[in-house]
Amino acid sequence: MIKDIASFKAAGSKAVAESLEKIKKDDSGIFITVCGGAESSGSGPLAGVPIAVSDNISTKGIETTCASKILKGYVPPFSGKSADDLEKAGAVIVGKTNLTEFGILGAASAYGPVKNPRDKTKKGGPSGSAAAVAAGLVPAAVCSDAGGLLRVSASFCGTAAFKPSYGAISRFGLIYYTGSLDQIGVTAATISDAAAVADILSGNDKRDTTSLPEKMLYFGGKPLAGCKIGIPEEFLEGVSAGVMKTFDEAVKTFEKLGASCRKISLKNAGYMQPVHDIIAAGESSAMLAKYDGTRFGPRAEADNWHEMIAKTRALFGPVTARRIMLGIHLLMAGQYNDYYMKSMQTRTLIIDEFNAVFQDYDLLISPTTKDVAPDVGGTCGGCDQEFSAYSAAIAGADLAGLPAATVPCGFVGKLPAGLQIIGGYLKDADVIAAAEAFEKETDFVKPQEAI
Amino acid sequence: MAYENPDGVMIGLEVHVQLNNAATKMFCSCTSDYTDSEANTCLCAGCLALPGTTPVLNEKSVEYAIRIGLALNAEIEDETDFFMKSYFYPDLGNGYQVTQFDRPIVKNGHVLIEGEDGELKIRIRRAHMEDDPGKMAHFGTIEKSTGSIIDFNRSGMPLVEIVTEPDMRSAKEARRFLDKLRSILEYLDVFDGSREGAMKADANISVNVFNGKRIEGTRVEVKNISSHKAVEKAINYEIMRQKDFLRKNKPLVQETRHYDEDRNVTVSLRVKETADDYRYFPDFDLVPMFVGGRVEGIRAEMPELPDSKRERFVSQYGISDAHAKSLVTERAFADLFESVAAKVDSKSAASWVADIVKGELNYRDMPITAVSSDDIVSIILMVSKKEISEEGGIAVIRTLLDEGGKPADIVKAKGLAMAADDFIAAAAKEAVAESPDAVADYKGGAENALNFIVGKVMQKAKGKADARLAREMVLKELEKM
Repeated sequence: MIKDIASFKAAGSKAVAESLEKIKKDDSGIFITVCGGAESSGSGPLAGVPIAVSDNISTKGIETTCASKILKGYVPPFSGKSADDLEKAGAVIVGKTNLTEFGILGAASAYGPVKNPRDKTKKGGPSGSAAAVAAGLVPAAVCSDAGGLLRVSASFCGTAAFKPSYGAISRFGLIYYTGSLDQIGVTAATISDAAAVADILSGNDKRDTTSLPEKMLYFGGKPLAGCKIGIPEEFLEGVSAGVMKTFDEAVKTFEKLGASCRKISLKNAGYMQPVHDIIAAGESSAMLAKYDGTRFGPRAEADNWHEMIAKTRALFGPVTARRIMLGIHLLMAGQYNDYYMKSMQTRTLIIDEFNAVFQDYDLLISPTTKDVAPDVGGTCGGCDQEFSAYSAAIAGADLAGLPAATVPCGFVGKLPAGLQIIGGYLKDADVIAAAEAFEKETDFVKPQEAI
Repeated sequence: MAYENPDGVMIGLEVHVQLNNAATKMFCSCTSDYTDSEANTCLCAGCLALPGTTPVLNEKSVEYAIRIGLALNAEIEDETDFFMKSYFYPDLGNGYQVTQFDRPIVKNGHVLIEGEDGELKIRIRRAHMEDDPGKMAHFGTIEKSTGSIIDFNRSGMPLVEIVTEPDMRSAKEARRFLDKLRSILEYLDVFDGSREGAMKADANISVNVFNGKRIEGTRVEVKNISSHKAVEKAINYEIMRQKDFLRKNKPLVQETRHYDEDRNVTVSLRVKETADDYRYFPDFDLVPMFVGGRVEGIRAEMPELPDSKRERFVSQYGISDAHAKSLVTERAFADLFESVAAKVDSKSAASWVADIVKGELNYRDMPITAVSSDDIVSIILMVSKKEISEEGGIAVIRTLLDEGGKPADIVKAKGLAMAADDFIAAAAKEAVAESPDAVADYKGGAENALNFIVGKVMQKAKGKADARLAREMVLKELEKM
């Protein structure tokens, strides 16, 4: 049963033990590692609150696998900034959540898929973080969000999620595969909880050069009354009838709250997913090169180092391997100008277009995903198509480093649909304010009894 | 006379300079001085490229790169950035090297060297920043090894790679370029050239004339040569090999070769059938650097460099250009000269420091710190006051280096003090009186006879007389007669 931070706090010293008990019983593939000995410590805003951390965030002394065989048994000697911050705030990391291998959408986790707590025949998304919250195992989970790892999962499981502007939360210790597109975010029962945890994780970190110099402020954003909201038509293409119905209702809610909503057009929307995928493939070919069996992780037996590296790297799953090979191909001299360079140039055009739109509009909204959670056994149990299956709206916010939230906006049958709210760069507080107002007005977090 | 370059030799160098004075490595706070440390002890998670580590640029290394650029008379790029250069090698933790690509921090410079036929300008195409990988050692030879070990202490060391145009025409010119470059770098305080791996060079060599006719030569790269002496030898070997191939009409291929110092040969490492594809692309972990605004501040703090110091020494101290050239090669000698020249006649200071002290130190392979300027000053003063002879002065320096001690004590202990003038005058009088035959011979025009009398004086003084003074005194005595 989905519960917020306050409810876990209310359970006092038993909260962590109860959370651990439930996680151990879970059979939905939500967690890779359960931190058995985790105990509540000290004070702080999250004192005694169990929190889940994605298994691509380094945790000192706790195995961190990125759901890949190539990192099996790897125990980092240091913690990521966000894991450290959680513990400093008194939170207890109770487990490491499952994810598609390295967080690459479409890749298969070495630990199997995450099942949706609302319907175990359906997927819980590319990350187990939202499922952990939806199943009431933890009130909040921290996870990176490249390609929508976090937002897509939240949309499928009916939780709120928030990824701040690029650079708000340090990536130190995050094992990212695409550094320029990735940003750590938080999923929780409510957007207020997600923002509260994001607030704890935010602030400059000298160890991450892309870290913003000032701490991001998430509260005190613009009220919805008088707010101008744009609905990019292109983000509605291919959206299922069921999800579209929930979205139409959401638009009415925003108007009821005093916002004016207008359909707009983003000329470059069609390029967002392909550009995202090309850049992610290129960057992953370099970021995943360090897995060679030399210094950490499993090492394949071989007669010479060339063979040792090749055999060790065969531990990558097939989708990840193909993504790396695609990246290598795209970065080679013969292709670079036609694909990677063009993608970087187009990325600049996409950013420019977003900037222009945010001159006239405060926020952009769209369905988070085109459809509700697919079947667990469906065609996308580790396939390349899932790469681009969700929505241009997800890729756009990544490319431009924009703050984006997703909140539940209704149901299609038993399954939740998500509403994505994107704000201008560094306008994180406006996104949070709008999402909070929407949440207060609607009641979609509540139908927890279904779980 | 113009240098003909009969073989049409063209040599270009790529010199890797470790900025080991930068205190820390390029992207972390590990020490940049691992010389005396055990393998794999000067490193952190970042040096090992553990997952989740992120690079943090050492600003000092950027400043050093700018200093180098200014010293090479080059342009400094206003906005510059890092690229990832991908290749798999066990000592390259990340699987990519962080380097620069089309916007190197330094470009279009030059260095003046003494060429085969006078001053020669060696153009610098570019100099860029990059990080050093770890170091791999093989059991057996590089071609056939039974196992390898890796030391990651070097991983992440800040490097500047300086790339010249193919402006050198002989191995000697290449060596002179490297000597000059090393001298400049030491002046800049960016590196300690005495540490292992501080400077390494790759040489691109082609022979472009055959049978007196211009031909399209084949460029061969000889990699990772570690000493200046080895560079000269490797290039000479490679020129000889290419000429030999041309003579025998054997095909030369564009390839990368390794110089085997023990055997003094180059051996083929790999043939370049196609250009290596390192898949350069912008490093998204490091934001672009805007360094334009820092250049003037750094320029204002630039030390005086060898060429201008040499000119100043000649004009300010009136010493010979040969002495000035020798003194400025190493900044420490130039500094030693200046502190000595502040207290004694500058020409004596130059010849004592450049000819004697430098020679004695080199002979013993001792560092300049083995002598103090005060000691040299007191030796020069003793010589000029004729308290000791010039030979005595050299003996003092030798003793000082070999056994230690203070000049005055050494003079006393070794009995080097010269006899007083009146003693020599008296000895001269005696010697003249005792040598009537020689005096007669001398008066008769036999100049040689003088040496006999002077020898006698020296005998009486038991060698503690200045020979020139003894000669003067004898002549004075003879005039009286």
